[in-house]
Amino acid sequence: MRKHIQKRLLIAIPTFLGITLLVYLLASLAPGSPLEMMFMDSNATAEAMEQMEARLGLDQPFYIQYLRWLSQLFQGNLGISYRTGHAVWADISERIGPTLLITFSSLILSLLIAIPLGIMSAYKPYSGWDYISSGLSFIGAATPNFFAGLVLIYVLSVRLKLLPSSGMYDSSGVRTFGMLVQHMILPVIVLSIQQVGSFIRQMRASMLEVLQDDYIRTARSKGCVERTVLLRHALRNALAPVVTCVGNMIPFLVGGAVVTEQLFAWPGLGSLMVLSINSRDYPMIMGITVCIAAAVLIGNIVIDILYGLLDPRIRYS
Amino acid sequence: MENKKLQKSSYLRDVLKRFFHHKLAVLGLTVLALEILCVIFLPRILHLDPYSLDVMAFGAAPSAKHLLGTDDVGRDLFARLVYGGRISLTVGICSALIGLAVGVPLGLIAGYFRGPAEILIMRLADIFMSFPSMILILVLASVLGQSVVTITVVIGVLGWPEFARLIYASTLSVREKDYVESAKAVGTRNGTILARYILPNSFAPIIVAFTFRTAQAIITESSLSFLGLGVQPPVASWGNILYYAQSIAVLSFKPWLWLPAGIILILTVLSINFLGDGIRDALDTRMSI
Repeated sequence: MRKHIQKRLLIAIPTFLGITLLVYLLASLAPGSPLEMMFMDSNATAEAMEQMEARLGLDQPFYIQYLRWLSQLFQGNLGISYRTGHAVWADISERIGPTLLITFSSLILSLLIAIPLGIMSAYKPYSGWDYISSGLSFIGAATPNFFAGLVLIYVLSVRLKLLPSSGMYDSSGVRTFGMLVQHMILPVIVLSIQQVGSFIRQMRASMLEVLQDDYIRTARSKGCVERTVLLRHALRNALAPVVTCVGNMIPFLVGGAVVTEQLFAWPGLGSLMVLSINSRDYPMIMGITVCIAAAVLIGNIVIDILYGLLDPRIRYS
Repeated sequence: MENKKLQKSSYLRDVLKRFFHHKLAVLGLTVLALEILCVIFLPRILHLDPYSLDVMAFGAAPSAKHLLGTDDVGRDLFARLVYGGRISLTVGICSALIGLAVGVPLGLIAGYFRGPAEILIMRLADIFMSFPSMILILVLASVLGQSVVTITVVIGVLGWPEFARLIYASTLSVREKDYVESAKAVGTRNGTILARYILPNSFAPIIVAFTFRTAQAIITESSLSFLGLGVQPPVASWGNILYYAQSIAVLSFKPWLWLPAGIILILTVLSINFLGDGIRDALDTRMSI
């Protein structure tokens, strides 16, 4: 197990460095140099600009600039935002929480829906439940999450006035937990719609496979109740591929969070990303991208560990 | 020669038979064919104009003159929906093609030549697959500009790892086959082996991946345009028609402005997914009829 995790970490490090290099390259391709951005509305002299250029190291070759940026990065310094003038890290750290809150909640919600549905449709293939869940997964996969969001806002917020459609709290200044939950419901549902289909399909497929194994027949023939066979014997083995599926879903979840946060004016990293792109705030764009890369890699390692816990063959190899 | 022809046509017949057996796939194909015919011919037949501004009707409700009403600058929404379909479908198909064109050769090289190329290419594919492509697309689109062409290329190129992985896996298994070895023994050049023996074996999964990728690309483009970071008005796409629904007034009181584009979007993606499912079943020779 330890070896397994070590190997994963060894792969994660070059991946992270690769992404930082890619992001730095992209940002340096962007039109408008950092100098122009900083001196946008001041009538600075050419001399002052040259001094600034030297001070920031912009006259150095590309790889030196990159290494410099990278070492700053590891010291926790992501630079200064062009847009707000704050430290990039300060703005980002404020917004990580809300994003994690809705992405995790939606992950849990969609697993809570998908696992029972998947088990039921694998237990009785081509039954009513099976058709319902495969219909659900087809429509979920085909609905762009912003459109699902628009429809939900239209029905639940505009017409029925049941749920708020934007932000984390209302403007009254009072912040209660209940209010937070109310504001979370719609974005979390929207994010779940996108994932639930592939989880159902994966759960169904792996459950179908496991149910044909010999040890299931053994369990049945020694007189186990069906409930015990399904939940005790089959579920654990059938869950391992679903865990992998969750890992594969993380990138799409993050991508979906950008659109969903923007739609619901949720104050997370995704809406900050859109804001920063609209104002060409490159230090912020780079900072967010690097943070997301780190988060995704950590997520993948956690998934690997979980997988090892579920599947002893990996743990002991 | 005669015999070979006979066999080929019966394989094709089997495939078609299996495909037409899959009712949802046939439905999907029909919907898509209709859509494609509509976006090609409707503008000519009905003289649609997605750009002209009707100064008498800003944000008008559906009427005989404007079938689906007009947007807030007086452009006919039905015309924009049809022209938007042109853009959305083209972006989807072209970017899937680009992903295929980049991914297939890379996967072939990695699987056939192995060695350092394999490590480099497949590691890169892992990196791309584990990073949210939406974020990279946003960054790239902001750096390179937001024309239809750059958006197609960006979405397309970032689709390469899926194709590369598929081809890589099937190349790995095919390259060990006896007929590849015998081709090598008689001195067939690598390029010929790749084109004649290895590529045809991956045909089925590639076609299926291509359809799913097209659906994915259409969703990506529409999400991007919905954020205002994709196809820019006045050019229409299904996504940027939906952009206006971000205003709560449009969302609440003018559902004709956003509902049709969304429904067509879902219908299209569903159809493509059904089509892909049908093709997968049809090309799978182990499936019985």
